[in-house]
Amino acid sequence: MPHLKLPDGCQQFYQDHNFTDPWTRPEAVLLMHGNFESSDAWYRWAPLLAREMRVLCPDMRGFGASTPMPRDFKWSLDLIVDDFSNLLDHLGIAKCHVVGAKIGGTIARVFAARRPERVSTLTVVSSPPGTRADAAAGVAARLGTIEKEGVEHWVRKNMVQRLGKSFPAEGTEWWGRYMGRSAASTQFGFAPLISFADITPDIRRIRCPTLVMTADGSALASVEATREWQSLIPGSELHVLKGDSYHPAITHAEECANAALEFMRKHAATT
Amino acid sequence: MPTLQIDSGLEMFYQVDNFTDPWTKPKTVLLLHGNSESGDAWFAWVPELARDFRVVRPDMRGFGRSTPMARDFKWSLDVLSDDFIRLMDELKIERFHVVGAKIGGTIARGFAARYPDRILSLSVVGSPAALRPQAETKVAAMTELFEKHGIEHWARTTMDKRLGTRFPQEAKDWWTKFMARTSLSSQLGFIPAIGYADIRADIPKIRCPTFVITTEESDVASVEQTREWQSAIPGSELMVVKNDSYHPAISAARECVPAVRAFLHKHSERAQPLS
Repeated sequence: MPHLKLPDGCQQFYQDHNFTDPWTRPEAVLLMHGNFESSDAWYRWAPLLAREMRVLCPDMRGFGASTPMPRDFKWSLDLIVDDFSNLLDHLGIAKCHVVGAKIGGTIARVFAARRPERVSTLTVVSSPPGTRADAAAGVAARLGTIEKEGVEHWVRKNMVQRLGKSFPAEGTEWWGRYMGRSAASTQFGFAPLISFADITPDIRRIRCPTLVMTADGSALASVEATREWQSLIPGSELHVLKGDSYHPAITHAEECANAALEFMRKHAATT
Repeated sequence: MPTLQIDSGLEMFYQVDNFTDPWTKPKTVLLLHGNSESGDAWFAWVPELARDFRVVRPDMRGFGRSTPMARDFKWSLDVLSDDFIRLMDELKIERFHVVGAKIGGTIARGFAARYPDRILSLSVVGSPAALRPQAETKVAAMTELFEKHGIEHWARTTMDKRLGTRFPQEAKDWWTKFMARTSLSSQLGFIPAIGYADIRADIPKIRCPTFVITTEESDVASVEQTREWQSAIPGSELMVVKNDSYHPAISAARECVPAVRAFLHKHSERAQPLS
């Protein structure tokens, strides 16, 4: 799978899956992973979507097989938006569907607000509210633990809330090791500037068809907190899943991917 | 996507797709494409199979992005079987399922007869009889046609029988161009030695669970001709698809893929978690 060199010299890795009938011109969907993850997080989604559309899963800068960012890197949402726009330019894709999970859903919302001409539909799976009330304390707790005990310790601490109590033990173990490999240096800029960014002004600018999914037992955001920002997006839909995980894109992968696919099909004609 | 140096004359291109839960150890399925194709022929199969299995798709020796073969290359089912064993050894896969379409199904039968210890199950989709009628006359006619008019002409004029009268025209146009990329030298050696290989002696040696799919109105083999060799394989199953194409792996993928997937599941032990 290929790498793309970004304007500042960083390498962006991406997966590109396309099993559509080769005589057709399929739409594309861009999948944005969450914090401590990479394109590999989409293992259940890619095969469900890629028979009908071209599936692009980048590793965000700083993550996975893309270049890790130094501690003092000046992260901004504009920069990440530009990175993803660069990828679409590189592949000659003017407009596509966008799906984001967790912080990938924060970035996806910003992408839809700042590049409306490029986004056919937006699907946000279990993502925090536009403004996170506990931002300063949240950043301090996370970075303090990562500094002292490392990334893997931090991600394992939250794994039961992340994947819920009914996820298989081997799966939880794999996720701990997988997320634990994420570069620590990336976190020091990413946590304050991206994970806890205030994106409420962006949410108010989203105009594309939007589907939001959350689990009713999520520790990341209550259904009410999710509905509060979702209802700011005209015509958007909220799909509430039953579960105690805050990462239903993984724990409810088939249900989420099929709902997203259904939603993208419904809005394909308008693109 | 990777390549493997099989011998001094062959660099084999192959693709691996695996969308299974990453903490499990899935079974592997090897997909063998037909004449004038490549591993790309399996686009409709991969996403559905790769959710539960690791899917390995080589471009056969002489085809696709693998090294083309010279006209006088000594093709044999032994050589092709050994190529695939080398690939699976390289990937450290001891036992695996095999699925072959068209001539890929002939090769898969030859392969299953030669390496019974390596193959978990065999699926053969839209494949000719063990001995094709009038082989000599047909090979001579095809060779002349390839030399005079090229592969594209042959692919186009046989496309209605290959993909059926109901398959969309733009799909047939694409498929014609796809097949036309095949090297002529590979094709000229392949057709007599493999395309029309007599595999009657191999059929009784097949002992693994076997699933055969054919179409009601195939121009390559009638249902009776298919049943004749299929019924010689103990415990094998036959599925007949309503269709006038001889390439149901493509033209009837919607029916074939779930049927093969269910067959593979039936003959896989449960995937074991990694320690």
